[in-house]
Amino acid sequence: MEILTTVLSVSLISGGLALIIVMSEHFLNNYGECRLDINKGEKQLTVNGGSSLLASLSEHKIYLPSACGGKATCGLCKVQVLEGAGPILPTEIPYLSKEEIEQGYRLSCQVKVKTNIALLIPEELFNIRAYQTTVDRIDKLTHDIKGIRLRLPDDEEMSFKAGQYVQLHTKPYGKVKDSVFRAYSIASVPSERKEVELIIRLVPEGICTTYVHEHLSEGDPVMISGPYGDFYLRGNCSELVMIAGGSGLAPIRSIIYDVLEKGLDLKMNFFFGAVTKKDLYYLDEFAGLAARNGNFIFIPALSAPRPEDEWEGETGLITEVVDRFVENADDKEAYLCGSPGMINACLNVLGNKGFDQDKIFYDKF
Amino acid sequence: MKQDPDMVKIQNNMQPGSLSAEGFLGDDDRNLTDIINEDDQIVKRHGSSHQEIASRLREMTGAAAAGLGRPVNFGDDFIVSSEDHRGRIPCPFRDRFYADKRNTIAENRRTGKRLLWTDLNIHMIEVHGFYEGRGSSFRLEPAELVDFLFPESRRF
Repeated sequence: MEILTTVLSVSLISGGLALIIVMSEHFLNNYGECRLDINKGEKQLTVNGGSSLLASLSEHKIYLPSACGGKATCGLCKVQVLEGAGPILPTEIPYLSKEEIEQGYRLSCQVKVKTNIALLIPEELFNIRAYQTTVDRIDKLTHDIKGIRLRLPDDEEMSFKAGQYVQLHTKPYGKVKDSVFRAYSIASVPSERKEVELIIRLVPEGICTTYVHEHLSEGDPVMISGPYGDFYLRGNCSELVMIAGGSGLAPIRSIIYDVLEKGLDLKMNFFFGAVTKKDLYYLDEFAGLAARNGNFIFIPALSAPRPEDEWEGETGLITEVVDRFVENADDKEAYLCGSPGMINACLNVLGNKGFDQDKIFYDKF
Repeated sequence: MKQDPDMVKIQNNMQPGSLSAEGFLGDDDRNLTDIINEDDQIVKRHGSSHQEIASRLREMTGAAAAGLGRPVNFGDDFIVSSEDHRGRIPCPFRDRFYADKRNTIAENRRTGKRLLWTDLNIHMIEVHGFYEGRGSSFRLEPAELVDFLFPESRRF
């Protein structure tokens, strides 16, 4: 009897404590309705407090750039907050310059909406929309890279600049219970407004790339949002030096097709680096473009070709190849997309050739 | 050993689908504190430390990264190469560390034995003494790791 009483007492106390916790959560974390004042009264949104600013805006179809899905690892979702954001968090500091902090910039994924917030959002971001697309085609480009073609709904089109990116939203799968989104550059030409092509390399254990590589099939619906990004063709020059590695080829491909299609008076040199032949793709496509267009030169290069590759093209690190081919920076712009290591090494080489920083545009992974 | 609530939260953060598709624990049914403590004992028995291991891994990663994917020699014993992927991954210990998604592969030239690790592995070993759970794709067996990294040493 004594044991039963003890068990009952402990259960009652535990139940009571649990109830208090639930009630506290309800009252303490209930921020009620909050108002988001965007661009000094131009837009007013009413949201339920408690979510991040990024998510709250997204619910109202205002999509800020983000490559990491709100985990504070990309720093792309920064916005200028005029009031109501609370103190800056340590997770934001690495992504904000001293000037940005002074001007009130914050990572919207880290700002929790607890009260009314006034913020500024650049006008161009209001053009970003979400699209429910259908997977039209999936191509295996290499052992770990897939090309994905997404078809937009019949009554919708996406307008973007060559070089920009979209965010692809996954669905829960396997052990992954939540939807996530990640950024991928558009590989197709802007004139194809009804379709978007992406090039996605499998990241070992990556949540989004595993979804794409192992769970996505032709005919499946996929939500994307975009376009985002300031990596796009400027073209204030007579010659382009373009350098890519791996899936970094995507935005460069879009730029090349855009230039050719518009008949722009630009000479293009495209350096595509890989380790062995199995890492290269679209070789025939670019070789064909080069054969048909006198202003386009395609230079694929392998840094460690294997004997079985029977490679007769350029060899060496892509930086070494660029160093051999690019004589100077005269009237040139450079566009780079690849790993941070590759980009940094290329910046050095191009700097030595005389390229000013404002003539080099890059998209680091 | 019973875990404090912080470690329980961290262990939850290591589940599949939270930060990576398969998580950090594999099929290991020990709690996080036990995994760390047992691996710590193994490292000590082999005459090394988490910091020494991490330092060696970082040195090899740095050499590999300079090759931009091309294998390069590291000392007399190793060939190392690295592979970069898009994005960064937060440390599951919630310490605000973000690692580049980079895999480094080292091969012992004499034995042919190969080992792969990530930048996040290095951080988790150095700061948290965590080698991931058994069965995790990126688990580094501490005993095997010490023997691999310091082939000239006899550590018993």
